[in-house]
Amino acid sequence: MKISRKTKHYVEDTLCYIALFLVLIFTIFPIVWMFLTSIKDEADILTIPPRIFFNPTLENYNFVFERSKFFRGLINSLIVVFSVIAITLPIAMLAAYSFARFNVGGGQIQFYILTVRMFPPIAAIVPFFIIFRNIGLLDNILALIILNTIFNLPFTVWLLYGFFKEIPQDLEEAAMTEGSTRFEAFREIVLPLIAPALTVAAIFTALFTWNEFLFAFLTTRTEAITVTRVMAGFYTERGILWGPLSACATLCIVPMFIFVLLIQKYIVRGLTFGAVK
Amino acid sequence: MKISKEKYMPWLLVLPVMIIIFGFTLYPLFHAIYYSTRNTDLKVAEDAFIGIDNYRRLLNYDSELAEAVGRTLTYLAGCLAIQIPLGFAVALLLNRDFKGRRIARTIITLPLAAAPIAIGQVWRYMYHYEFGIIKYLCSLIFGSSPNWTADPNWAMLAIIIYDSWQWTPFVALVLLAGLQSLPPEPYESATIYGATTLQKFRYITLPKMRGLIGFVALFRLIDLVKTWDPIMAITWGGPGRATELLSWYLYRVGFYYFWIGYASAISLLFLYSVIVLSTVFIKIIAKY
Amino acid sequence: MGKVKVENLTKRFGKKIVVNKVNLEVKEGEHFCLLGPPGAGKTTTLRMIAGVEKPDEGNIYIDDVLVNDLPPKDRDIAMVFQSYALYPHKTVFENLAYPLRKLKLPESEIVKRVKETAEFLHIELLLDKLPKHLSGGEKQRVAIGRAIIRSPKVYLLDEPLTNLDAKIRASMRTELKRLTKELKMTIIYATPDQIEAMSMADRIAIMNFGNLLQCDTPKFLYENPVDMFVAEFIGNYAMNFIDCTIIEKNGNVFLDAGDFIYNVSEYRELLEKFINSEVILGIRPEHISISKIKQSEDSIEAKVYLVEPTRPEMLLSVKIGGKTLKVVATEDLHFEIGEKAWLFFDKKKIHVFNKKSQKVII
Repeated sequence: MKISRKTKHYVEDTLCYIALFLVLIFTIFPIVWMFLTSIKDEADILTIPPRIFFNPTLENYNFVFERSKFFRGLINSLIVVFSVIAITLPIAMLAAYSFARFNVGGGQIQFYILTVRMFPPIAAIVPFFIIFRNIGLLDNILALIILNTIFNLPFTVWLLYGFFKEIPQDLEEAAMTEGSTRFEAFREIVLPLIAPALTVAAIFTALFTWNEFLFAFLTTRTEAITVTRVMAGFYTERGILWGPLSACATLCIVPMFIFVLLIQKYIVRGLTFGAVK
Repeated sequence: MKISKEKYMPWLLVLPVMIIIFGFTLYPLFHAIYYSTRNTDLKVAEDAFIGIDNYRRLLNYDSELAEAVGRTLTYLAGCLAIQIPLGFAVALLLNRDFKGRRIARTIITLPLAAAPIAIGQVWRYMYHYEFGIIKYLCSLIFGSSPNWTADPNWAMLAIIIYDSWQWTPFVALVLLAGLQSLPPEPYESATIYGATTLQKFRYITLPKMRGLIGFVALFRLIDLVKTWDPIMAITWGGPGRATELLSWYLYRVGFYYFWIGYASAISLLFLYSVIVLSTVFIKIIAKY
Repeated sequence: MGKVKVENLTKRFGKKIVVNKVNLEVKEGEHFCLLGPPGAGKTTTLRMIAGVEKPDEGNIYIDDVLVNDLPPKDRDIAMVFQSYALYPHKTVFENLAYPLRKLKLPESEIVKRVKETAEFLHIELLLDKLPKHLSGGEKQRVAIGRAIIRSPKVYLLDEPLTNLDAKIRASMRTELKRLTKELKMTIIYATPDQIEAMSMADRIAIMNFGNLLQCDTPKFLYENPVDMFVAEFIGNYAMNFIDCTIIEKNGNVFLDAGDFIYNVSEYRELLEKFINSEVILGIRPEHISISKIKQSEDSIEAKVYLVEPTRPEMLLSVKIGGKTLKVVATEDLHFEIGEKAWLFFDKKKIHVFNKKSQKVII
């Protein structure tokens, strides 16, 4: 029996559709499950077999808002995120511009900066912990801001470096022949063109800082806890409070979904430090 | 006397970054070196100079460290073995033209946004030996299910599966970008010659993608070595020490036992290995 | 107003010498062209005059003022870049207005001048558009407009026509010529296209590998090339080159090309030093006449090999023994492939080059 080309194509296509469908289900399942769990009451959570149909309730969210340190964590996280962005972006922008246009240090400095990004946080934090302890900076937002800045700078510098390289030098040179200083050319010509890149860098920084847990866990206790840290508080003597935990997780993750959707186009570029476009 | 503004301006722009990064990495580095030669124990406020004893202990008879390293290697191998082929497969699927392609691509991106500690907790719940849905589904499909996070034989697989869930999309998206940059001509002429899909894949796609696959594998490698959040979220290094990777061992030494001296020594060696690895890696990026 | 002088200008990129001790003088109001193949150093020289690139050695004077350390904005020059360098986020109006805003002119004056310039360049209908919506020719006009709107002392144009496609290029060439004539400015122009240079420049400086080879009027360059490179580069048809040895026979001097010998006794004095050495005979296709009969003693026999009708003329490839020459002929002569023909070289127009790349006689 000869299978026609067309049939072969149909079979191929259908198989691919099914495979992709399975992948998508697998991808989205934990997220959906998280959300469902967050609106189940305790009885529905701790049952076998797991319930798909149930009466939704907001009691977990109430718990999170009223009985945990969520708002504290939220404010702290927001402060840290904004501070880190406010510090990282201008510094990284200037450095990236310098690297892109003048190739300062012939690549050596850039190399070292990139290496920093590769450090495993757990290894890096040991000395920092001692230092912060000695100068009384534990349980202080400042410590988090410092740590997150250090870890986000390299990546931001590299991302912006890639974007700067894409802007032709002609434009600044033309502005300079028309009466601008280099600084004016940068401000009036380059900056508007780099604005989208700055937004992307800011969102990535926000993403990494918001999701960060290790530093928060090891350097904060009660005052400076972040949203991620709050989740550790749901481990009680009675057992793990799955409901509120899922609610908190949902609250933690959903904003980031929105961000990621915004920068979707740049996500590969961002995550590979601008190496892959 | 003319000071060339052009000459020092570039350095001025880089100065803030350099101060922060050099300052905040070199100073702690010296600190770590200092402490690595002491037997500092924060719990009992002990602190004396012991020379290279920490390093000796590290290299000679710390079996726990060796086991942790071994587990880490297993973890790396397992993750790469799943994520690279699977990611490539997904990339191939997404590379086809079909309706809803954009939505599919968007959905795939979502796991990357989830904070590991947050979604990790969800997985912990899903893996729960009593109420977990994974256990339930496994029983349905396979008849029985392991006690994922409670069974030392399966816990490692549990976190590998989790990491693959979160990071296969990354591999897929990078490889997708690569696939989309391939020129169509070789495929067109192959079609004219009557090549099958499989042949086109083997002789055109695969060779061209080799570089990018290597790149993304190395990238994952560097990130995998850092794994810590998921362990915290899902297994706590357990059961027992079944999922105690190097990073978790370091955590235990430094922040559970508070043997800061020893922890400093381990961190230094850990950092050093990573630097070597990333140097190789960066050289490769530069060529690419 | 608008004199430019360049002394011993040198620029290196790493180990490579890109501009090598170049000396130039451009007179006021002159249309001066830097001509050369890609990589010759003409763009770099232009950029150093503009101030966008710093020389490693040498001096640049604009109106007798040493400008080496002056930033571009203080040199009163304008530059049109090869890529046009239009600001992508600004409208055509804003692009044109930019230099004027830097001069802090009142808004009404700016609007007036922008409109005038736009009309002069026939782009007044494009003022609200963004660069990405313009065609190549339109973009180029805007770039030129931005340069002329300030009326600077010197205009620097970097390969202005290279990025246009062939059809537009010819018409823009005429446009450009009109513009530059009307504006009476000093223009320094870089191009790899010798047609452009020959048709537009008052004087041309030919460069290759960073060296300035020859600097003269187009006519002079055409008639008196200083070496083989210049000879080959200039002219619509490439010059023919034939290897020869200079021999003396019976008191006469000949060029011995193996397949033929050519009497050059008129140039005896100039050639005397080179007797028995190897040289290269150069003759342009347009300076060879071809006929079916032997017209003079000096005619050389050849066989027609290829006929290319480059209307309104014909380009014939002929073979003398193993050597191929190209000859330009009028269309009314009919030649067939394989047909025998006689070539007559215009003796006043031949060139003889030392084989080591030098010219000897006209």
